[in-house]
Amino acid sequence: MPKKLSLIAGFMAMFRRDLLQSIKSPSQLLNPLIFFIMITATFPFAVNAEKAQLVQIGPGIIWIMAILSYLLTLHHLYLDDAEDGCLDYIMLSPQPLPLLVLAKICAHWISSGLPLIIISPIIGIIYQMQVDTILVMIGTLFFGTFALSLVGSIGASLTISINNSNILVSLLVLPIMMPVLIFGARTIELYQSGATTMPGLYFLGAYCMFALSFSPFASAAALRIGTD
Amino acid sequence: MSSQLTIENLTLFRGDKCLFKNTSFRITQGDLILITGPNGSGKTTMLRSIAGLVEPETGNISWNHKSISVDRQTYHENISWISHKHGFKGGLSIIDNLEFEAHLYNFSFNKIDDVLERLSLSLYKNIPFKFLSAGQKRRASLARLILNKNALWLLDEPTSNLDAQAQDIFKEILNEHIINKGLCVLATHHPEAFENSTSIIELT
Repeated sequence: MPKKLSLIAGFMAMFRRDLLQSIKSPSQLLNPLIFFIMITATFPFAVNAEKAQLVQIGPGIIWIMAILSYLLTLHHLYLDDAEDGCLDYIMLSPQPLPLLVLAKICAHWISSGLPLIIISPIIGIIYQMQVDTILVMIGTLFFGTFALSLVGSIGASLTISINNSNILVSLLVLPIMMPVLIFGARTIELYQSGATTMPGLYFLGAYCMFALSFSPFASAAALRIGTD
Repeated sequence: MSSQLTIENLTLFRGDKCLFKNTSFRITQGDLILITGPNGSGKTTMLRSIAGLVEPETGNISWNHKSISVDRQTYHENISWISHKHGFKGGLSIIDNLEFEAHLYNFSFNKIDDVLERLSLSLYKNIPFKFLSAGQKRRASLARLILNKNALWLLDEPTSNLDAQAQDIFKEILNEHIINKGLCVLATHHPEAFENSTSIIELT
């Protein structure tokens, strides 16, 4: 009697494998993080800014660098699987492809977004942020980076069949990431000036949920076209 | 129910080149179909088309009288696939890779040690896949055929990089599959090595 197909087992297997693979390839894990830390940490030295100026420019710089660090990781999301043939096996699996795509996106967020969130308080201190501001920043990065993984997945899947596609992925995804950048940075700035943060966080949360509702399906469809 | 794969009027172009036109055939239980042809003739593309990875220009592919585009999940539950690329992650061991596929393809992992013993890979099961030789990697690929026990095998040059002993093991595995009413479509440069083939499709 054949076993009933378990969607949860399929999701967890895909998630676990991608996470394990990123741990065993530390350069893929660390390079974007080091890039993020290096630029954000050295920026204040380059501009020789006063404390008040750092407080003002900090949110924007942190958010821009978070997005640019993310763009470094996106083209690997499906390309590595395409190059070693794993993508064929993923697509030929009886598991729904959008489910496996979602598992890959979640693993990507854990390996790329979560380290940024964890290191961000230290960067926040460099930009003279108070503890409560740092908490707001963490909140925006939490929703924002997950939204970036979701949206970035579509760009990565659309360019799967193109050689040297990392620039093209960035060009495709950057315009769609603009609202996340604007609301992410602006929410922190508004909090620093005494305004409420909830509209910004609600927007980022809603953007995240909206991306979650279509990104796995759009990415799966793009992968089927791309491997054709 | 008897398993059957029906290919009707399959046509595919790559750019201006027609790889195959109005190709039709039917495979039932116990059939071994070989696809042969020179390099670039479209063997891999035909296999990928049969698997549903490539959309043909025209034609219909049915599994047990149902179009594969209508009931993709059932079709995928019955396919085992081997391509030029191994489909294993280099940083993970054979065990980790096959365990992942066991969950993805819903097959039992209990007999993994016996399977690796048969393929002479027991000593290498925990070594990262990237450190194995080409022949060992190909043998590891064959493990999924034995574990998965699916009805339809779509195999692209399964014996490439295999030494004589491993090729004999593969033929044993293939014969067992055919005797147990499995179906197989196999692309190869050496059709003479598969004497028990039902028919040969020659691409030019």
